[in-house]
Amino acid sequence: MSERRSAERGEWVQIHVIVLEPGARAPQVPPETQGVPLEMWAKGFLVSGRAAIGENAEIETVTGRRLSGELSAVEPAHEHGFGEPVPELLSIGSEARKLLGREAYAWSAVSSRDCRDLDSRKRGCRDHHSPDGDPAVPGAGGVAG
Amino acid sequence: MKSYSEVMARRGEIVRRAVGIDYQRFERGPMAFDYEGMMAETGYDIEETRRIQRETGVGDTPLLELRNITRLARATAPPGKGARIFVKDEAANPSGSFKARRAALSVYQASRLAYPGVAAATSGNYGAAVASQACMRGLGCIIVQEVFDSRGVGQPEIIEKGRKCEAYGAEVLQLTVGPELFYVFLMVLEETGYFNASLYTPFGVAGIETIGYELAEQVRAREGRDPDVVVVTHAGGGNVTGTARGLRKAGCERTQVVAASVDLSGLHMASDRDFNRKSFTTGHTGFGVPFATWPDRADVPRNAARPLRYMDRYVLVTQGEVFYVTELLAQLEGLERGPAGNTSLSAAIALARDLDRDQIVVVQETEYTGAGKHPTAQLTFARHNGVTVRRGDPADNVPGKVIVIPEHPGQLRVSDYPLDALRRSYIRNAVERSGISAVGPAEMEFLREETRAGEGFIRSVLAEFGTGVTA
Repeated sequence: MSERRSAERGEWVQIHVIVLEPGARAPQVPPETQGVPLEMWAKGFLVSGRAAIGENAEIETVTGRRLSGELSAVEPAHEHGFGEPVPELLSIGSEARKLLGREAYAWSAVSSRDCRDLDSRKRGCRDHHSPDGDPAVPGAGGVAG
Repeated sequence: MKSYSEVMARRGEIVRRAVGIDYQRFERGPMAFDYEGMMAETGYDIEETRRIQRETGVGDTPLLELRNITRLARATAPPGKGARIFVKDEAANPSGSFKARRAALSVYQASRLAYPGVAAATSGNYGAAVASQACMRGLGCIIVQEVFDSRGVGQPEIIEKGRKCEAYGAEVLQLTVGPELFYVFLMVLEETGYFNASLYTPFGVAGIETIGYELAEQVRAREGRDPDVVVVTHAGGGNVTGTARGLRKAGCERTQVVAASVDLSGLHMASDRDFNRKSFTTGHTGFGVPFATWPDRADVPRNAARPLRYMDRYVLVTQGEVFYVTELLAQLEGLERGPAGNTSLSAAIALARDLDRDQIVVVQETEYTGAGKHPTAQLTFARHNGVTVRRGDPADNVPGKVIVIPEHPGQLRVSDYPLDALRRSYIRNAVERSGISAVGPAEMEFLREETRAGEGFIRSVLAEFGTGVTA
């Protein structure tokens, strides 16, 4: 997220709004949800004057609506990604290829000899992820988490 | 801001204006309504639907045979068993999922009726689908999503879906956990005069019929026979309903429709605490069971998705199995898709093992994958939220606590959710909501259509709840 603490008119910002206070929540929500507010975030171009984080701000959204709330971010970024490597997933492909053996690729135009080479090449570059025993045997593959 | 109770009190009027359908005229007494009448009069037939979808590049997706996954299923099947597994690559739709089919009709309808824009309450792929279709037809678009818990921590899968909506020029409102999302949505509809592109209108469901219809045509053209089993990831019920209706329209009388969900039993969907302890935000029992046992809980008065009318079997799989299968699909078939849409693929591998080798199982969707919406992103998030991730027997899975990635494809299984339990619950809900003390002939006929149960079964359930039967 951008480190900037204030925005000028016309900049792309995010606002935060408390929609329902604790106690004003719908009757059917469980207690842990009743105890917290319903909050909303929206993005748009700042139309009110210069504002700092936490100050009241008015935005115009991409559909042309005007919304007001507390300025929560200036030039908000998308920060989601692919996470970290997951050891429990890393050996699944090589385990499955080993189970299938070379007949797995017999349907394709590649000859069985090429298949074996292809398969062993693929294994060769992957088996270092699971050095402990035969990954095709249940219980032997992967790294316990 | 208008109060919750004030807005909710006007929900009927707001929704009626926002979908342009007078649902009242299909009502037939305190319980029954004319479902087929509603679908015929307010929806579109298959040929119109195909024409509308083709206008915006939706549908006609490839049917791919998963040869290596089929071999893997056979390697763990009894001799002579292991049906061929095919997948309909719905990720090839604009916006990357089958939801483009649903959105295509809704947005077309909104455009035809001259609404200035479309709005949808969805945290799923449907948001991007509506946004994509809306920009093609030049309409404004607002998507309301449930994204964060009270710590401001968001499900990476939903954050990505919101980003994609923004990419298509939609306004996205991101909310914390709670069913009051609907209240915010109603205020948006009222303020903007936008069309409610609900997942549950006849348009939202008729749009899916083309999947069933197309896959029947494709399997027949390639193999000269009908598919034996079609496996459908089940959440709100539209996917099961639309696919099965399309199969019927194509004349696939003997094709079995199997609904599949990820088992998230024990997690409360409106709980601030449980929200980020699940690693799937759709395709799970938190939607699948309540929407099967009472479809009319949606954002329209009568839900066009009525899955109990169509599912021949309902099976559950675990989160770990779906992540495992997502990895198999990438590594054996060269298709990086999902993960949530691969719920049906996980079930299909288990189901194929019980079928003969010449039989055909079709997995009817894939979905795009991307940042946040990927096994590594979702499992990293699970770990950061205190969920244990390990290899082992998926039978040891505990929703919200332990995700077990199988060690061997032989461990992929399904567990049957008994349809009679869903039917029993549906009948109880139908009687309670209607407020009637005795079921007459019209209600009995309706309950039979809704549950596909025999009159004897229905009578025994009614007796259990102390409801009488007249005539």
